Amino acid sequence: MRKLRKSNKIVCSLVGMLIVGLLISGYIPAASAQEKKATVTFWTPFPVPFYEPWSSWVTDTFNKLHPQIKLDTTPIPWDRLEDKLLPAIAAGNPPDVFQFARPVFQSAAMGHAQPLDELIENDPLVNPEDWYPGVWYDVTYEGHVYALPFESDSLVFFWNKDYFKKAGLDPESPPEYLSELDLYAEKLTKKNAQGDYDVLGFTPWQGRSVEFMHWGWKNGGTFYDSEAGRITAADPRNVEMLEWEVGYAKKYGAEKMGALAERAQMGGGATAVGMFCMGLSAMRVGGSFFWSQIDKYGPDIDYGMTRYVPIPKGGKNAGISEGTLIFVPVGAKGIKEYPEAVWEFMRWYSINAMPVWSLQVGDLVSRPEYADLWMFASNPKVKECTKAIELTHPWPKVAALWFYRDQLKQAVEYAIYGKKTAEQALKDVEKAVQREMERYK
Amino acid sequence: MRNKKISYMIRHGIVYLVVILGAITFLIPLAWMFVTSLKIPAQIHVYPPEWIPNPIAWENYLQILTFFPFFRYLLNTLYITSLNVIGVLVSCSLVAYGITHIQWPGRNVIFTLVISVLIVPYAVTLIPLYLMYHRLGWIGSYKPLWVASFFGVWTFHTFLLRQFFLAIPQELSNAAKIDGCSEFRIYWNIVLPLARPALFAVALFEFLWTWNDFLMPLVYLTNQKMYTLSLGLAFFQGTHDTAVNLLMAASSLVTIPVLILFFFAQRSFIEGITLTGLKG
Amino acid sequence: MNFKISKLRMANTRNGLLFVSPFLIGFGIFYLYPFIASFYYSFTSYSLVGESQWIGVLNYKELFIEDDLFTTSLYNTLYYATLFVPLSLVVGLMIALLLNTNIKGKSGLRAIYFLPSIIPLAASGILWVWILNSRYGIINETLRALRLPAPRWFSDPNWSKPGYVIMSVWASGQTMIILLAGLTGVPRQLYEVAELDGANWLHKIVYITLPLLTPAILFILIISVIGSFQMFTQAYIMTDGAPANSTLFYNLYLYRVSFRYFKMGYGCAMAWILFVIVFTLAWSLFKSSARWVYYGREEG
Repeated sequence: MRKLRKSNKIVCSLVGMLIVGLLISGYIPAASAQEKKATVTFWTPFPVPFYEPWSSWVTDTFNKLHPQIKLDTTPIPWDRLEDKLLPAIAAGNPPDVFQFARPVFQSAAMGHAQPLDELIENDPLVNPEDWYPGVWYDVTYEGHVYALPFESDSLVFFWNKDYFKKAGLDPESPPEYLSELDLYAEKLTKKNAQGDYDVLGFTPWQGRSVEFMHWGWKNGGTFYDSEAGRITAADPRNVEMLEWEVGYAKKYGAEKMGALAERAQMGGGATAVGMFCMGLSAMRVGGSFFWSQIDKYGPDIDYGMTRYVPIPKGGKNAGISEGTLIFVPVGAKGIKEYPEAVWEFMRWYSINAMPVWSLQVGDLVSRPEYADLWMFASNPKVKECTKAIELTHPWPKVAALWFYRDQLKQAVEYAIYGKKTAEQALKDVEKAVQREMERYK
Repeated sequence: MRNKKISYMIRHGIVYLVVILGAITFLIPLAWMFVTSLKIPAQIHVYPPEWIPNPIAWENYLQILTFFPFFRYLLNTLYITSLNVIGVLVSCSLVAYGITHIQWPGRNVIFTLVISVLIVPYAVTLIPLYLMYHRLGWIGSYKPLWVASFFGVWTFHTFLLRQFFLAIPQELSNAAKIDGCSEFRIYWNIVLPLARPALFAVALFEFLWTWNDFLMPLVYLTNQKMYTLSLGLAFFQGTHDTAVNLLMAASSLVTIPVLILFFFAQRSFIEGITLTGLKG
Repeated sequence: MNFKISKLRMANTRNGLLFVSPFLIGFGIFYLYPFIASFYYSFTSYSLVGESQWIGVLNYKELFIEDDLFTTSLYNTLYYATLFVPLSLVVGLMIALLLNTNIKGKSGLRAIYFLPSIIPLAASGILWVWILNSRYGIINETLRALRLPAPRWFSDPNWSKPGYVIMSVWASGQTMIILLAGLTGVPRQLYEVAELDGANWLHKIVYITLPLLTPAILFILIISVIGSFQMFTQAYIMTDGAPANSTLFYNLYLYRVSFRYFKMGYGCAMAWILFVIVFTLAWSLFKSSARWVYYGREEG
């Protein structure tokens, strides 16, 4: 009987917790508003008060500016956006506005995003020409506009000036061509007594450069023949560039290079702190936001930035620009019941709130008109990065773009680890992506 | 005689050695987690790794406790977790009893269903489940996070209890039936007390999973104020980088209640159960 | 006589149904529809919005014949399961047995062994990327100190999966708990009687402890097999399939296909293939259990 009493105690304490919880939950405010105001629900991956106070600023400011609209912002973790959005779309109760990564092609092709052409036409304040062409390109698909851009970034080349000096290179002149880049990389690489690397001159697949397409474009290669509707990943000019990358893997050892990169790893993808910030690499092709990371994690590094990433001889400048956009998910209530309120928010967020965000976190503005404002133009780093947007090369406008990019990343890994030849890897990508394309017909 | 004593001591010593070495191995990652939680960003990636943060950033914890709505999320999480633990203890034990101590033709079919539910991956059930909760009007409330546990659908526990209930001899329940006990009384007064360690394990596991689960709160909650601790942790991974030191500090704090529960629960593992009066 | 038996049968069936009724209701509400819906969708090109076209076995055909990643992810998961399942059982057993002896500080030690399994996955993912770091990770430092080869774990496609196995075994505190719970059910008298017969510690473990632990062991085996096919969150956080798809586990690929490429029908097909495979494995384990699991009663 003593045993029963003990388990009773536990049950009682659990029930007690329950009751306390119930009482407290009564004090949690209800999520929906019962006022007659138009309520706009907005989901954003840009975080919450306890880390970067963005979403609460957005909510407070917009509600003050537009007292007749109630903005309801829900922040969501960055890497699980789809987990929350897709069920909501399936059930028919998605948010009125959703912030997602660029470009919008897949969502548009799947019918997840609603076209905004009418709203844009009827609004004199919103003109496609006011955004950078490279940015606007990402929100259109098959002749319609499906989203409004938010912030942008661009592709920039970073180099460690101290290391340059130590290696006897001119710290103010970064390499212009790949041949110079290869040479510099050799000079800047340092091995230690055990034969492991202390510093790597350059890793062609690090950072933003993990996106293989920009290398192919630089060499004049294409990835999609829109007239023929064919994927051209195995274009010989692309193969050439992949073989160039494999050259680095063969020369320096892919596993050894990876081992060095690990030191900066935080675990997959975008959340990795770059090797460059820790002084482990001398040169890097990175996203423009990267400079704020260097300042945070490697404050002692004296570095240079340029929008001219080294290109092959006879090649051209072709960069990548990513960022986020906002779209209206299919089935959203707001756009049906009070489209003006939703559009009011979308316009405000995309045009007015965007420069505030960019200023705060070191992202770039998507509209040239802001680039010349003193708060952006006075910072030479920001200015350089913003100019880099103009060098952006458009993505292939295919619905299966995420798939295509993932396939290319994997192809690069297969090639550098010697599992496939460069040509075979890209040919396999071609086949796989072409097959994917058939689904959307 | 002395040889026996010496060999006993040697064996004992080896056991101690192995256990302690193992404990150290298991502890090192945790020690690193704690150490990292006290670092400033520029210190996180210093190599060779430094075991003593310099400076020691106690303010990380202060930030977590003030800037981060730790206590509100803690209460939210406790609420859902308690409900889930109760629900699971009640429903899964009932079902497990039904398929072990009662002889009836359908029980193997039920058990097959129990296992089948375990195998289905999350990606497949997510959307249909969401659709159903949407029809019930429960999206945005806590209900999708705990109601299911009262229906025995967390079949991991059902399976676990089934194994333990099977090890409780049928003779006991048969004897009680002869005495005129109903099935429920047998369940409540005989089987459950004998399976106490398993029940504690079930409570512990369910507590643990609900505590650390962030997928369900992510999908079903829309009001920030209702978020749970684990979902809050997910926000330390920002768009471009992760606040590792803060994440480790928050994770340390989040782990403490589970640890407390564990200490509390494991006492039942120490008390042995002696099954006297039964043939070996 | 027959009348009595059938009355008993009916009573038992009624009682049995009563006891399992929560689950029957729950299954009907929460799982029946997802089961049926996902099976149906696996034969369509479902993508949430608009018409889902019936495409017959096209998804399955594509998976088996054309999709390299399907084969790769299945291989990865089987490889992982083959290493993880036995290893975590053996390690869990060793720890549970050791902690069941007469040593001081059992509570603290148990807590230490259990602690790794309760750390939030995001944090433990980052921790393990550090621990398995090729240059300065503790594991490699130790290996080098012992003059053993130190593989480059997550930088080497050949060693990335073993890295995950090590991490998962470290977190097998739950296995230990279940075994400890099982150990409490072993009557002390059995040991005492065996000692009188001259049994040493090895005899006791092999002839008393292990047989009486077999119900728990069966549970752990089946749960580990099922669990290894569900490996997803850590892989997503830590390596996301890299390097060279060596850590693209089945469930990770399934998630990617469904939630990143929005190919829901395809994902459903993958889910059902997974179901068949895992169900078959679990069923085989159960079938074999009649021979080696001892419940201490007539039927199991």
